[in-house]
Amino acid sequence: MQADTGLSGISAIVTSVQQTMLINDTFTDTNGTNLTAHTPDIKVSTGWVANTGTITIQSNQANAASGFPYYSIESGQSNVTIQALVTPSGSAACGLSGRASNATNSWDIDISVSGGNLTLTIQEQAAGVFTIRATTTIADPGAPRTVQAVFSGSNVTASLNGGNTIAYGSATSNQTVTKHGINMASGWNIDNFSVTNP
Amino acid sequence: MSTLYQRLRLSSPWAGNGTKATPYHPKFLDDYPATLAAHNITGTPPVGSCQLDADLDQATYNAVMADPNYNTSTQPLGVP
Repeated sequence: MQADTGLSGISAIVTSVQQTMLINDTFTDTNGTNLTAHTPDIKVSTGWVANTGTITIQSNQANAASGFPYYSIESGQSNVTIQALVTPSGSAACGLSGRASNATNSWDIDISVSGGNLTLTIQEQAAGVFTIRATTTIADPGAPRTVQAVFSGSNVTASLNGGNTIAYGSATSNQTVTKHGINMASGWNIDNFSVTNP
Repeated sequence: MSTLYQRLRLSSPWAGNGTKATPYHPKFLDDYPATLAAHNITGTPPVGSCQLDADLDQATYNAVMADPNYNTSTQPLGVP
């Protein structure tokens, strides 16, 4: 006998929003391969571009050996969801870079880990000047740390592991830029990078 | 069980120097490091002040409302 859910007689209309995978990269390649010489699993047109610094593949993850490199990849869309598995090293703040026209203009969705706490930020980078537009600090959940950013018009939201959401509603700089990517610090690893629309 | 918090819209001076290591941010976040989250930090640093929506636990909320540096520029937004 079926349990009475209380929904009998009610027609449920389910609307599904299909996401289109624009970019997907599991960084499966030979150790030491520069991302600029690596072909993502799914791409729209061109591959990774080094905006500054060097990111290579180590153990099938994107890895930075030094500095604060920025890489981006063309997606053809500015309103997107970007996601990656981020493994920090040290207390620097790094992660995703949305709407990244070059090394000095982007929207960075960063995490930093220090003293058992994790801070998630939305940072606007305009002409090389960084401004925090939203932030939250929580107890560090440890690995895995999946960082997600949703860009929709002038709205940017960021979340960690599907929660702890922060938002900024006046993101007008670089609003129509269609390149997205990652920013890292020495020792950081990023895996399972994806860009979907919406 | 989630922490009971209040959301407050307030104005704050800017702090930081605009670098990746020390981005511009509301001085309020330095004064109240127990702030749970801050959203919609608007304004152009470093001149003038910024406006933000801050999520605060009840004790921090009470402290801010009693702080003469901020209590004249606050607008309680209730419990989200």
